[in-house]
Amino acid sequence: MSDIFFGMEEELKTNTRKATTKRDVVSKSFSTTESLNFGNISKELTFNNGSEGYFKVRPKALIESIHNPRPDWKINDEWLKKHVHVDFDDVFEDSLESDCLVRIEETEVDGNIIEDVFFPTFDELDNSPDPSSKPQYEFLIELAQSIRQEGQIQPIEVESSSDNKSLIVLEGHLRRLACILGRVPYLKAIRNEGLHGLSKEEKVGRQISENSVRKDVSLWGKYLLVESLLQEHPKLTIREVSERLKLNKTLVGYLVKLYASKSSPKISKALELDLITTRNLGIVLGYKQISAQEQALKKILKGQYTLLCDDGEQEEPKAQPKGSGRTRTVSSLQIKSKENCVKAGNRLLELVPELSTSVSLSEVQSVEDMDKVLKSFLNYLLKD
Amino acid sequence: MNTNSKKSVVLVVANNKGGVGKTAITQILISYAVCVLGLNTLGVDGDRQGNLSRRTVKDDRVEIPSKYFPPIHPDYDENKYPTWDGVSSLASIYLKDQPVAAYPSYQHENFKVIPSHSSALAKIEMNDVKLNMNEDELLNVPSKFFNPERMGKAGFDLVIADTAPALSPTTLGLLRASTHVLMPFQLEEKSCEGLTAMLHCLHEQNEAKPRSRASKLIGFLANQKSWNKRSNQEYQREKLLESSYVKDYLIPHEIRDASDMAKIDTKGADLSMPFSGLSSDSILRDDAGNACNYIFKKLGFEKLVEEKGIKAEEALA
Repeated sequence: MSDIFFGMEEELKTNTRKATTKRDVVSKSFSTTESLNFGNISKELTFNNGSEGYFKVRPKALIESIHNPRPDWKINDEWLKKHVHVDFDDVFEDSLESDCLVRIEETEVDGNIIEDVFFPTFDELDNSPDPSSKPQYEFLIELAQSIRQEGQIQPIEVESSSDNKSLIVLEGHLRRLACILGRVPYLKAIRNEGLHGLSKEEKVGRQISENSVRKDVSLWGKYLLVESLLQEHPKLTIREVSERLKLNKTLVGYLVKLYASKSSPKISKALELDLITTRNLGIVLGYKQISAQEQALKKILKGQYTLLCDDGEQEEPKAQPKGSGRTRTVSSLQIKSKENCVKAGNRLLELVPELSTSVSLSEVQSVEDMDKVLKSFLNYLLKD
Repeated sequence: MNTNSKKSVVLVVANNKGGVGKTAITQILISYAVCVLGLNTLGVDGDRQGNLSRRTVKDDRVEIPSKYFPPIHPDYDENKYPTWDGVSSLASIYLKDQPVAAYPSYQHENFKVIPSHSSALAKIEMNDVKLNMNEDELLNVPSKFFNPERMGKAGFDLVIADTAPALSPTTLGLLRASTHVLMPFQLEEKSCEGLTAMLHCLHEQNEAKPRSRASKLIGFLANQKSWNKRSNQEYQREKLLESSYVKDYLIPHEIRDASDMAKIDTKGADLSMPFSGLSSDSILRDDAGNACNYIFKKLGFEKLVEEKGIKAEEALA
């Protein structure tokens, strides 16, 4: 063995460019953060008083809130485990080796190590994920790439679990999922311990308000929230549901009607597949009969209506017998010329002499005179 | 022994809790590496107290200073190196005008030491020296110096670093430089409380380097297990097993408190003492043998351990 160090000191002491990785973009964003605070270990690691400042949290160690305002989202931890083979035991996410389908490769460029992340396409995922989750998967990839490139702009919000051993996501579920998918080691978070007293609906409503400036909850997601609330509190009014979930009252009216009344299952399916708007939902629900609702749906969706039909089901809804649609409550009669108004009015006065006395008219000479006669005639007809 | 490997293993022994036995464990590991497996080993003393240096660096001084600094290097030639004062230490890796020289140890040709230097390291850690480096650059210095390829080319199979009971820049820098980390601890509440913080610390250093160079945690090694505190210590162990982050790293071997440790822990003690100088029924020999067999397999020396490792009692369940 040689005394290796003599003569090598110059090489060591010169300020060579430090190797950087793409992870530096992520880590630089956290230069002002206070401490690491992650999941199960959080209570043992708090270095500050816990009430202020950002924390770095390990996304895999966080728990999804049971008050998740996105019940329509198909992608969750289980989905990532099953289809992407994310290893949730590898909380620290700092090694190259992993069974995860999201690959990380390091290349050296001008003395710097660059980290590149490769996401599998939806078709390359394992265990045949539901095709309807494809848009969500692609959205998460975009978000993950954005966080890796630009850093995380807004911190997520977390609170302690009731057993004080874990941290629960209050707001930022999608950023958490994106970081897990993108193999980002940590997230910036603020701890908010002031919401423990809020009810489930209040927490959900709060998150919906936040989400309205980002990726809004879908119509289907809102329906699921209404359904969940009404299952728990069946006597709530539309106004109360609207206030608790911070949703528009008209929309809530439609969703409550969908929940409470017997309606075509195709309406729910259309919502789930994101095929109709709030306005069209209102139109369809205006029909009382299921067949009429389906007729209306077909008219709105045109070719897409087939997506709502089960295999082998008749695509064309049966034609309706006349008069079996909406129940009419109004009967009206129009006289379309002044001459006919005068003629018919004077004839009425002959037939029902009492009318002359009640309207103080001996002769009808105008459309306005006819209006007076007709109103009086209606009262005459409805008299007990 | 030269394994012909181009890359060295860089093992750092760390825990920011004092008194858990880092230096003693480091000595045992060095003993196993050098005397049992025959590895070319470089010991590094990252603790300003200089305990490892006092016990391993060949030192003929009548009195070793209480604030430790190394002796003049035996190969120092004033004529050849007029700008050097002849003293080298871990602090020298940070300084422009100081060469870094490994010191010979007491008996073994295949073991050298980079010693500590109490005041020099203190100045560096307290930013009392004009290094013109920011914090990150300071932490990267040990990584450059103890680069596994460089150490391998220099002929070392293994670098083992002892650290101070503090998350100082020296300790953090050594953690960042490591390929593997071992954390001794005691089965007592205060010691156990700090393990997750150490885990966090290690992974924070990993985040400062490419994933391909991430340090692997060998595990947490329970040390100084006492006979008369068995039930409390078992309780502490159970509590640790409840933590999903710690339990996977609990090494299934423990070093029990043994009077033989005093024989090892003496200046000038034979490096081979733990494994050949103790009686065959020595608890320390058995525990150290089991633990070292496990650790060195994890370090990638499986074949050597199978061939030459200590045949001791079965591991704890």
